[in-house]
Amino acid sequence: MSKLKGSRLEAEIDRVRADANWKRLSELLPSVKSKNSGLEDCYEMFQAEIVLETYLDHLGEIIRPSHDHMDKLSSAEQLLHEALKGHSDNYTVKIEANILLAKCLYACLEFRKALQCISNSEMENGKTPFRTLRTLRLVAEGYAIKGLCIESMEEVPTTRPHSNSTTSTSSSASSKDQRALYVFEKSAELAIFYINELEKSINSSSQAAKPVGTVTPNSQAAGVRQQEKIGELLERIMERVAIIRAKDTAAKKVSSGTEGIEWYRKIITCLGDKFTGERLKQKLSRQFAELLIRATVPIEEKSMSEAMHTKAMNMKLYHGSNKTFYTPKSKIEEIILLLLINEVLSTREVILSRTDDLSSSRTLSLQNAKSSFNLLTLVLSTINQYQLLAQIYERAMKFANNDSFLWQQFALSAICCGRFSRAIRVFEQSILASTIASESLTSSASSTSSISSQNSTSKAQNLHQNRRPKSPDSAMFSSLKLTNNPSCALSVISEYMMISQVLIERFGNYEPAIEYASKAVDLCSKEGQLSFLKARCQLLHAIAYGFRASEEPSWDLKKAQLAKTVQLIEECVSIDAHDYLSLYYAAYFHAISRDLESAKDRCSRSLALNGDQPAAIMLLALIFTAYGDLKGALDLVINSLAEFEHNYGLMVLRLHIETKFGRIEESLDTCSHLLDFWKKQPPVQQQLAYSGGILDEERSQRTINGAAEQLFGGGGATPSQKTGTPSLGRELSTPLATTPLIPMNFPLSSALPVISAIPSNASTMDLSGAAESIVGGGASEVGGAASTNSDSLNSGIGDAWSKFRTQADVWMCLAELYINEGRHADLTKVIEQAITMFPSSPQALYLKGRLLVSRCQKLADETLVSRIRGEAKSAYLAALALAPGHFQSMSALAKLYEEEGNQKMAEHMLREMVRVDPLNCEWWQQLGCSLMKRGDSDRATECLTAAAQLDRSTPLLPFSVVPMVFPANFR
Amino acid sequence: MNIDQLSDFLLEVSKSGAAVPNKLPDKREENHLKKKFLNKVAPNSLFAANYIASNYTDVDLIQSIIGQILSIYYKEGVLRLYALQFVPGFVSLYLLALSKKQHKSISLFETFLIAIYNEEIVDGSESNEKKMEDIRIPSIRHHSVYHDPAKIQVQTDVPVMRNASITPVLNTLRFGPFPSVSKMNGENKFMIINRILFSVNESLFEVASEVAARYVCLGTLSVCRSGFTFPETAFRSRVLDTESHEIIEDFSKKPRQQVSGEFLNHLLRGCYLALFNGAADLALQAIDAIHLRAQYEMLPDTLLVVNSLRNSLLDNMWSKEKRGELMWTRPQHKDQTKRRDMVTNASLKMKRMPEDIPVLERQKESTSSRFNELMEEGIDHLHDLKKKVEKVKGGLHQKMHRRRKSVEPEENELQTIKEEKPTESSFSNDSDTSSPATVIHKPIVLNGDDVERRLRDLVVVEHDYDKDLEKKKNGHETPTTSPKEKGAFTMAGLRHMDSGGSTYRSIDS
Repeated sequence: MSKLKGSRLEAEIDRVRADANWKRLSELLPSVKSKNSGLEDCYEMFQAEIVLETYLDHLGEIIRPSHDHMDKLSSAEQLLHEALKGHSDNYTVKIEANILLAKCLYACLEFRKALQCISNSEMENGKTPFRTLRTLRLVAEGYAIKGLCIESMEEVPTTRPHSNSTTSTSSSASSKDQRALYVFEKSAELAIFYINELEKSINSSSQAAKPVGTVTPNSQAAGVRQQEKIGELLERIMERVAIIRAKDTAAKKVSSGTEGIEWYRKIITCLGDKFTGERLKQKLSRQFAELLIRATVPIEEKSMSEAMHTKAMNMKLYHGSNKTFYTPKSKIEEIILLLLINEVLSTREVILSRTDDLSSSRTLSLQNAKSSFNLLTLVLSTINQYQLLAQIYERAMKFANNDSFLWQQFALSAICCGRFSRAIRVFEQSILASTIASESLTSSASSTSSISSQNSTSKAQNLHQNRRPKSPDSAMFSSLKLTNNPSCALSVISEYMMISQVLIERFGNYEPAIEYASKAVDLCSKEGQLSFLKARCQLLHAIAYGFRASEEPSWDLKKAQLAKTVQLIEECVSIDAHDYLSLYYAAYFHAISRDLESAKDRCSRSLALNGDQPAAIMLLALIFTAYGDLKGALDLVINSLAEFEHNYGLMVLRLHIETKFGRIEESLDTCSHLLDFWKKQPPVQQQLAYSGGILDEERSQRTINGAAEQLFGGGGATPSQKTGTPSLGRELSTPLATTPLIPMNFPLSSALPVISAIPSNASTMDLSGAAESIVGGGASEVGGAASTNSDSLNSGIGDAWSKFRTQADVWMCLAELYINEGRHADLTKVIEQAITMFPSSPQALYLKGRLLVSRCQKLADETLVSRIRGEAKSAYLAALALAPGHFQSMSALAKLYEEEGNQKMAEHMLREMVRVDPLNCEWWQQLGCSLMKRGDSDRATECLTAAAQLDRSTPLLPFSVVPMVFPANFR
Repeated sequence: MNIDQLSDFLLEVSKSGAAVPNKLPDKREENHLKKKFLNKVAPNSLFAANYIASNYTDVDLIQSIIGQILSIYYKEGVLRLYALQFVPGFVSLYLLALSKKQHKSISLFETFLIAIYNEEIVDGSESNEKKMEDIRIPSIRHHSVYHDPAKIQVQTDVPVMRNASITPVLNTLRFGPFPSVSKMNGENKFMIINRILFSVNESLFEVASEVAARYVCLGTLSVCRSGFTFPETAFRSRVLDTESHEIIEDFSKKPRQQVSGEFLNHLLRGCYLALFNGAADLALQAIDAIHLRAQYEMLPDTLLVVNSLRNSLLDNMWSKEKRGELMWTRPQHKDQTKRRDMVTNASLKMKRMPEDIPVLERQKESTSSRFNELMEEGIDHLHDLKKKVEKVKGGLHQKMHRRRKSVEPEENELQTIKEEKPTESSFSNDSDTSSPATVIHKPIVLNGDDVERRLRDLVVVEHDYDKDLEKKKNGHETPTTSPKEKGAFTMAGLRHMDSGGSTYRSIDS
């Protein structure tokens, strides 16, 4: 009976102490004290341990040595002294009691006594068998306390400098550093050993507990509790040994053993597949990544790290060689892996509750997550991985709440990877969060909670209904009070500017763009210090106003609005005379208003400020053509092509001007590849064939993008493969996923289809990298955009559509050139592909009709001609259905009516065109010819006279062909 | 003469750098030797960079130095790192020349940058193949040596790949091969600059180059602030408690320089690395300038990164330990920091000099000596003149910084500074601080050069005659000499450089 009792009691006590369950241990004390229990020697030690550890748990995380602890720990100290006096012959009691006593003394600032106790424990002999997990942990903690005491005692010589010479003090300090580091390393080694044994213990405990049903919940509870921490001292020491070793390495001191980086790797590989030590894992992974980023320590790049090599061998042994695992091969791969692990761990730790008592803990956990996000942003932006970054920030939206920083970062990363509609919504949310944060400074807590409630309600409603207001609700932003927070004001102004620019450039949604720009101007007016941004905000307002004016159907309103636009932009020019962008847009809108003298002046000044503006050069060349100076325009374009040899718009413009000079055949031959500029070129595809792995990765990337797009689009169309060549199939699958999403994101307005609102003359510079791969064998080796990331294979979803849309008008002008010269063979295939890939493009439909009309002019069969003409008419009408203001389609349709003999319908269409766009001499010319055929010579004479007068101010191509320019486009 | 001194210095760098071994089995030892070499030549390198920045419009003057730097680059090993130190400053000067349309300087820097770019994209001189690097983005849902996905409970909202492949790699990026370039134009110039800055960030901060850290920050300030009047923000003082001990010139009158988002991102990364490599003060000002410029230009990718950096530096409270870590440098850097403080004190003395000079005399001198140039070049020359004066002060900082290494040059330095003062009070101070010495033959020759130069200047300005008289009087009372021949040579060289600088300065004017 006594034997069984003693053995069972001992096992129970070992388990309880390993779990740090001090309450349970106090319940077992009477059994320990009873005679013949086998543990009488440990009674005082156990009692002291309960007092000490309970008090330390009560203190919290960190032991800060202080005299205040002496009163509360004196009883434990006395008990330990009694234990040592009475039972010094017991080896276990000797070690453990001495270490516990050292722990007490360290907490009470008795460093010398603590060191003495550690010496008395003889734990450094190396003969010690670790009987229990508790003993192993205590010895590790003993080494930790020894190191901390040595470090703390360094301060003693410093306080009495007069008693020591300088060199002696320096030498002594260096020696102590080495001793502390050595002891810390011993502690870290034992801690790693302890963690491994602890993990085994947890696993075996859970297995053993399975037969006994009643014990299982306790076992799970123990496992969960162990995950929380492995002990504050051990965490601190493992963190510290890596830091100190890294500093030693950087400081070039003589060091024995492994370097700091190896210590980091050793600890992280040990903790990597464990439940325990999560907090330490999180800390160390971030610190290690930060250390690698700062590049203050040289990296051994030749051979694999020892720790990683050992870990890899163990994983092969454990999992089998057929299962793959990731081993970083370069510094940046290691950084990314560490930061991704840290991101997962830190976001899990974020406290979602908003109660007041958890406020400080929540703030701290949120700061940890932000640190992880900031480092990931720094690293992933270096390699242009904005897609992955946007995903990471999107997962952070669960706990963003009113944190405008996280909202803003998510929106910015969404812009960088091309998700503009979502970025706008997130920006709005960020501005709302800024408003709430600003109000909370001046209002009471109850008001804050009510605002938070409104915010959450609004957010839930928004997500549920999945709808977006056509224009921002003015009430939502009327409560902005930012004058007392300049930093916040700067952030909000930046967000307003970004929203306005995206609306103008990507969606052609000018009404809300005007509103957002106006809000930005108001905020700049309030903040005197931000005057340097005011001119830009006003410029955005004027640009949005001007493009809205360009789409005005009524000529009288259009004229008035264009006049106001010019006035607004001239104000911007006067405010900031050095802004090339203001001068460029002043020139642009002067040109649209046919004030060519002012346009030329502004354009020249803009190019003087910034000579690298192909759009401004294009505009200036068109102004020259309006003056009739074709030679000057051609010289200008050719000189610019020396600087921008792959600029698409300049190349097409040169073709048009050279055609006027009669040099047609050789020009068209050399530039036929420009027709299908949105496709990838055969040299790139040959590269694909050489490497199968890239194909797989491209498919994975495309799938990820498709999945992400579906998430964002709310269930858009599934991309489907079409029959044809494999490369063509990959091309076809991409835009089909995007094209139907556009109507779903924007409900069709009654007046205009939304697609027609998308400006087709958006940025040229997006394609400068892509155009580079079109021309020249050397350039095609590069692939896509010329940057540090030259991987052209990872083109995002909708890339072809984006390329096409930005250059659709220029492409249309080029294709018309081919049609006029009768080169149908070059065009047929390209136009069919374009219609298949971009069914919502009015330019493609228009060109289809043009091609059909041109073809039927050469046919003799009247029936066939009539049928083809009907098809052409259908194509034109389809284009006009998509874009009612597409003048080229109207003009072609009018010609078709004339050929059919329907003069009345043709005249009606031409009158409508002249009414809406009276500044173009072509329409007047066409109307005059039509009236002449009908015999109305007087009115025909008037129209032809107007055409002759306007010919002196009409450019070779419409001014609207010139693309939109924003600073972000240039790269 | 000044340019000859720099040329000799670069030759010496070339020789001593060749002695530093390229390949060692111990990577740490190799980096240690490289670091030691770069730290040793850092003061003169800063002087050379300042000289080029002050005289970049005079192509005939500096193209030999830039040619020497380029030839140093073509040698392997530490000399390549040495030449890369100058790249951030040259990129800044190139953009400045572009904005001012100074075509000679543009051509010079373009040649330099193209040569370095074409060399950087090649992988070693053996195979002559181009550099390529694959970066594999890990998938957090698969095992790695650092984590077990089952144990850290990867969240379920991580996007699931429908083609769930076995590979633990989420994505593979390929950097390079980059195309060779024969000329820079508007289309590819930022691509070239970005690629070179990428190399600078990768290579130089592994050896913690002081010159690179400093000029990345100065170049960033020049690029971002030129032509703008940005408001004074509290960013720097909130991160760093100490006062700014460096005065940055005013950029608001300069023409604006062109930037792109990716270019600013590379500069930002360089500033971030400089923050932890001994240039914290300049780095914080540069990061703030990038922030304001990115706001103005509406660059989303730059705003994304600079917001992250600012959040890390502002919102996460820096404990004392972290702040110490921020300012933590090697023992060598500590010494250099102390010397920098001494330079600061000297610069305070330098600032008192203009106050002592009579305003009328200065205006008269300036007007009479610069009259023709003003007529010819107009207002741009005034900017150049102002910049030259500021750069000369900077150069003097470096001179004093270098001379303070020993006691004897310090005395000589004080005399040299005070000899330039035209007022009588400087004369009395000079007599108080000078020490007796005898004249050696070489100094006599140098004095002859000084006399000759002053005689040449006498034709232009009457004021120099008074200075010459003061010097003669001073020379009679307190002749100087050096007890050692080496010391004599050193003093002679220093004085020679000073007079050489004056000579070239007069030639410029």
